[in-house]
Amino acid sequence: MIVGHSVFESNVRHVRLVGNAPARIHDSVLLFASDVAVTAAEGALPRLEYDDFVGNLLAVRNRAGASGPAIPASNCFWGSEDGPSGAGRGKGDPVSDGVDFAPWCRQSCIRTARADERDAQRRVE
Amino acid sequence: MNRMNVMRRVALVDLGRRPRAATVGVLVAAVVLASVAAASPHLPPLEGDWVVSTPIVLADASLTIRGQLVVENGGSLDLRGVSLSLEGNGDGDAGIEVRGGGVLLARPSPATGRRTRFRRGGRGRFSFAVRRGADFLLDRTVVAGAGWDEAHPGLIVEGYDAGQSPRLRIVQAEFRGGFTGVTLRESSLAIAASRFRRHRKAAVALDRSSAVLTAVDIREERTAIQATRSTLTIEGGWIAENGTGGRHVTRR
Repeated sequence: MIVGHSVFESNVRHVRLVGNAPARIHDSVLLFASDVAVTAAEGALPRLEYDDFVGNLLAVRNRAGASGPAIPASNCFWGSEDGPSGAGRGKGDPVSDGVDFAPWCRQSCIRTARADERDAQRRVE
Repeated sequence: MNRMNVMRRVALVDLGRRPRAATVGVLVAAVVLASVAAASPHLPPLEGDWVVSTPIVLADASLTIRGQLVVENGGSLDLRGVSLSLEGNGDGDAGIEVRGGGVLLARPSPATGRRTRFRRGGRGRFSFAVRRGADFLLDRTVVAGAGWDEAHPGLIVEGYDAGQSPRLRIVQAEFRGGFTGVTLRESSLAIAASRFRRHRKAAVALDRSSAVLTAVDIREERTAIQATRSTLTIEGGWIAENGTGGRHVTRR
């Protein structure tokens, strides 16, 4: 599952991933989930990057917790410039254990589609 | 006043003075149209199934189906600004099936811009299946009230490979009020700039399929997108006010 440049707003759960297929959520806005924005279970390990998480009850939940591999979630904005709460020490949206949230953005760092393509090209080169 | 206006005026005066004659005329016209509908393979019958086995193009019409619309191998139905009401007292009394080798094209009227619509006309919900080897296009088309359970979920596309048919597309379409908006089984499909509202199960359901959803707008669904053992790409989507936005399961 690949999600890019999309808006998830006021869903109970924005994205729920079960199983170990590759998944990536990038350059998207995830707002006001009344339960959890992204939840990963049974080996799901999505890559989260350049996303904004604001106003969610829980931003990211890794069902495996600290015992399994961490969900890569760097370069995201967690709704506060000091980073996520929960497993983090900031005042932003909470994350569970098993989420690799550093470094984070101090404000929204969503890229335009063109910048995203440029970065992808740079990675290939 | 030119001659045409004079003629119109005379006709109006005649209608005003002789209502019985006008009524009789309307009745005769209705009977003629009904006979044509009953006899012509280019229009649905008044009752029963409508089997399309030749190329048919219909534009700017409102039609009622009280049975199954079947597009057979070798048949093609090109609807341009047509409103199709599928009427039945029970779920499944009316439905659409595009069989392998059949073609269904639904698009707006080139003359008026009016959209083609498939809608539930009676109490029952209608089925809508595109079978393996069929070809179809939904362009700025509305599908309302399709599907009622897991076996008849709404528009279901089976065994379709978009790579083998450049025509297969769902673009700027609107799905509302059925069981599931679009169900893909072992298919690959692109859905662009389309809107989904208020289905009982989900807006889009994928089973062993591949889909690219671009600029879709999905709201007020129990589950917006459910993908099981499938490949899913969402780009520029707006997914709001649902139970679950996206649910991706790769093993059960």
